[in-house]
Amino acid sequence: MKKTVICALLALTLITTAFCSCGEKPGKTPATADVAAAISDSTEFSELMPLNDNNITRRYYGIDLDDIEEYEALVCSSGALADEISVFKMKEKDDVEDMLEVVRERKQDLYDMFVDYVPDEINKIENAVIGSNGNYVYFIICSDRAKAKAAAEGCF
Amino acid sequence: MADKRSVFNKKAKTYKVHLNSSLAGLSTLALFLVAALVLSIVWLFSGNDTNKNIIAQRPDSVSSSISGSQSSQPSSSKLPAGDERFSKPLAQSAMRETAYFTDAVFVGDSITTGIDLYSSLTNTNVVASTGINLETVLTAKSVRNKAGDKVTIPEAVKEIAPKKIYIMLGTNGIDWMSVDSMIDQYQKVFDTLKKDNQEAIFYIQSIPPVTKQKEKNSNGLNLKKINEFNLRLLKFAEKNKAYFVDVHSALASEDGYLSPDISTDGVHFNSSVYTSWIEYVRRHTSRYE
Repeated sequence: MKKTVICALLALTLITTAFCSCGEKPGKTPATADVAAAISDSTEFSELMPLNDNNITRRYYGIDLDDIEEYEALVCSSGALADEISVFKMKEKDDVEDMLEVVRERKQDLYDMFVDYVPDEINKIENAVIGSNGNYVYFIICSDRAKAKAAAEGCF
Repeated sequence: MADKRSVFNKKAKTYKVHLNSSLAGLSTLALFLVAALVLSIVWLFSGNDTNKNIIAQRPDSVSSSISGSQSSQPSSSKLPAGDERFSKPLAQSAMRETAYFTDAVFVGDSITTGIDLYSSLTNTNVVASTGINLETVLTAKSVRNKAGDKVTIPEAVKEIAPKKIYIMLGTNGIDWMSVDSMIDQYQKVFDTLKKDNQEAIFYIQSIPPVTKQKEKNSNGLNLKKINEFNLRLLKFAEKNKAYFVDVHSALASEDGYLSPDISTDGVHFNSSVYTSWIEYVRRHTSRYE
């Protein structure tokens, strides 16, 4: 009897543990400003300027600020280069895919702007980092894609 | 014996008559000379020939003496006769409140996009696109409208229905286009915007200078051509009854170039320059509309 109870308890523990491990492991939830700072520190960027609610909507068309918990978006201050770091934390995970689509549109807009204006920037734009982790979406244009990507992923 | 006194008196009288006549003639001549002198002084110091004065001071520029110069507009808000409003750059006036720009739109290229980023005019509209030039502005779907669709700059402006349209175009293209063809294209852009926004008044902004280093490294992007284009723009503004805002003069340093301290690439500026630019625009608006 005792052995049966112990075995049953053990089995129950194992089953419970197994179910727990199927779900997502709790990850980091860094501030978007910290993620952007880590990316900015990882490699060389032109002088960057933060976007605010007023002007981000002119650049990220289709963005709905009500769906975003927080963001940090930095663009080249002179407008002459395509360098950019944008990190968004969505309120709902369901909105991540929509935000990724907005970011892809942004990438295409930049391509169209720079293709005839500063063709040297096209390689950077084509190799932009577009990624997501949990509720986060990030978009990076810079010269050293690998370093920036590693910095972003290292935040989560 | 003749009366000597009588003869003397006669001679004296004659002399006196002659003298009076001479004096009268001299007086008239003197009066005429004084009048001519006064008129000459008035003509010399009048502002009627502003352009010649400007060119004399800085041979190849519209700028320099225009900003801060004596007002060329009447102090009252009564409309001047004819097209005097448009025949010269806007003179300095009181700082306009930011609300004036709520129904304004700033049209341009990457230089203008900075207004959106840096300026204090958070209530205004900026329809500008990096890389746009006088040849592509009418056809390139380079901006997005409120619905998120990609449209041309004139289409986006039409949707806003502004009451004031500020234009700054020409920096992109000045190194490969002739000034004549730039002005021709500018006319097409203006005509399109005018047709679509008939209630709007127009402010044509002169294009900024570049740094000396940029000029040295470029083929065709030089201050001489920029100044030539800006002078032609002034005439263009007059012809099209648009106000001319000499932004160039606000941004040029003593030697006429853009200072390298405020530009990393020789063409675009840092944030402090946008503060100066917008302040200049706010101090150079029409008094009549």
